[in-house]
Amino acid sequence: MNRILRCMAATGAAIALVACAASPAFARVVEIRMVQTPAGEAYFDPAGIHIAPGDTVRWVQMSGFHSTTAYAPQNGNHELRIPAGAKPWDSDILLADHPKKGSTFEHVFTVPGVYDYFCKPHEMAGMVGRIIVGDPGDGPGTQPFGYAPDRHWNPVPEAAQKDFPPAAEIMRQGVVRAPQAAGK
Amino acid sequence: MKRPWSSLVAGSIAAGFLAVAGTAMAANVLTKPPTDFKKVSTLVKLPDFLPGLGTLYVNPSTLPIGPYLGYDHKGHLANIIYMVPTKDIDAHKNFEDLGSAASGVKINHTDIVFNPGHPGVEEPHYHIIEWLISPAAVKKDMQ
Repeated sequence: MNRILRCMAATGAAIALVACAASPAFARVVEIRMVQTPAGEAYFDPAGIHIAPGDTVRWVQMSGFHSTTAYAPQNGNHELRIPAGAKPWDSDILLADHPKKGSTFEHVFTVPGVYDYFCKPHEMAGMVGRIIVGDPGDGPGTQPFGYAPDRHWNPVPEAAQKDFPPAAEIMRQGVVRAPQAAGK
Repeated sequence: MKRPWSSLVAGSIAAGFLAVAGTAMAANVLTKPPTDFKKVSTLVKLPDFLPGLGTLYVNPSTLPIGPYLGYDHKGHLANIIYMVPTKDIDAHKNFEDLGSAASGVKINHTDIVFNPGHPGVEEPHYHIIEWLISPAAVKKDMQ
């Protein structure tokens, strides 16, 4: 019931959450919009979501040119900020806007934990997001930025660090809108 | 001595007008970029035609500042673009003698537009766009 309520709340906020009526027993498909405004703001909306193991996240490019890329050493030696054992993803740059073919990218999340990700062209502009699958646990995504200096990973830019929604807020609300979309 | 942002912009615009005053316009640049310019979509993952900017060409040795030459759907030169990272602006960095690939072209108007980043220039920056066509033509022909 809690998941359904969260889903309904998100829909009321005009965010596309697919399969809201599905039973918790069935995996959902949750959509995150990738946006660039004429004023030059670039963001994921929602910026933070809580989903269940087995759920699929579908990123939809609404405007601009974006990627959804997990913070993981496999992706340009970025700091590991997804659960150990989880498969990192990288959509690379999407070249089409919704609803054209090539405007979406999907990833299925099976390993519980916190997943941080970014947009390749807009990481420096703070276009980052956080997904919590099931229980947050105590994996890499819950650690402070720069938690393993001896690994010599590329750090999360300071400009981006402040744009991750707090994990506690995601757990409390289920869905955390991008401040730009929420008019904050 | 470092110059403020307003001075940088004024300098860039002045460079554009100097281009107007030049007499050695590359003969074919209105329909064909110089041979040392490469299509941007062959250098980074972007579509050939960028709505609002056109089909861009740049000499790779001048990245990220440019100049970039933007062509419309019919292959006519529509703009000359410079991309200036905001960190360079904050650092009061100067950019001088940015090339004369389009010397002699007639500038219609100039836009200075913030961009949060895109493939090739993955950091917040400004586009300084010197248009050869009118604002109405930009809306009509560059989408």
